[in-house]
Amino acid sequence: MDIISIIQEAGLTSLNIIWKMAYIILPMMVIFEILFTTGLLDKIAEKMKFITNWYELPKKAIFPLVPGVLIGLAIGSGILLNYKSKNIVNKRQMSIVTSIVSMFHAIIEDTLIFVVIGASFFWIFGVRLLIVIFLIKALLLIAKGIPKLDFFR
Amino acid sequence: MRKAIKDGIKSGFKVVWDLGKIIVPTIFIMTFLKYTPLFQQIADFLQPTMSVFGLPGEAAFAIVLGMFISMYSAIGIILTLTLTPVQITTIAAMILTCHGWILEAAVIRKLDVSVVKIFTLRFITALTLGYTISVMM
Repeated sequence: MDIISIIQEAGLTSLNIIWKMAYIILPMMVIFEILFTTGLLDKIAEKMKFITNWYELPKKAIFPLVPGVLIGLAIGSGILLNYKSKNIVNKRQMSIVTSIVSMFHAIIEDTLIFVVIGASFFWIFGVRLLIVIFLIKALLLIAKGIPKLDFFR
Repeated sequence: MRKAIKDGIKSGFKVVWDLGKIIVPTIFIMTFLKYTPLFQQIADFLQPTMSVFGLPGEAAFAIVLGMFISMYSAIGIILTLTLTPVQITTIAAMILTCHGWILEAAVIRKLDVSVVKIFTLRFITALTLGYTISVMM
């Protein structure tokens, strides 16, 4: 492998990722801003409160959470960066959302790829979903009992 | 409404720009590293530990590449190995839980969240899950 073809490969991969990010993130951010300004976001967040309540997050945090889990880490981080600049979530809440999304993201695309090559759906999706529900909750409960051991601090 | 669309496009570009700035250099470093013997050496070192997860030694390279670089490069290796469904599920669960350290760490750092903590959590979860699958499935 010579240096030219490495640069070529890296260049093509970069273009590919930037393009993929652009066509997912741009429309998503427009939809997000429309939902945000029209107040629809609050209504959706209200309906999905059971998720954010479970993780002790503000209602609005459903927005980086669900797109991040379903689509990918980049869109989750994108909305989270936007929230950070709007001061909607604090540092600890960002850490909670990032932990969840980082452990369990792009679940449609990524799970399918491995199911296609022969992995068990139950284990790679079902069990991982249970882990992300209960492991993060356990860490939150520990933090409540012993604030010194707060993982998200 | 028009302002919302404008703001959306603006923040969309900002996000792509912000993430792109860290992702592109990272990809260059990653691609370069991929062609050095570094990951093969780490994999050779870890080969004997693979039996803990009921995996053949060759699976080490897939897991190391998946964890450091990306899931997709791991799949390329997995396809060249002869594995049982349990073994494929074990590798898949481990890599799905913990992958793309170099790139994802760069994104997480941008969020001002502790990369070390998050990857420690992911790594321990991945190992525990992989072991559980190899024993229970």
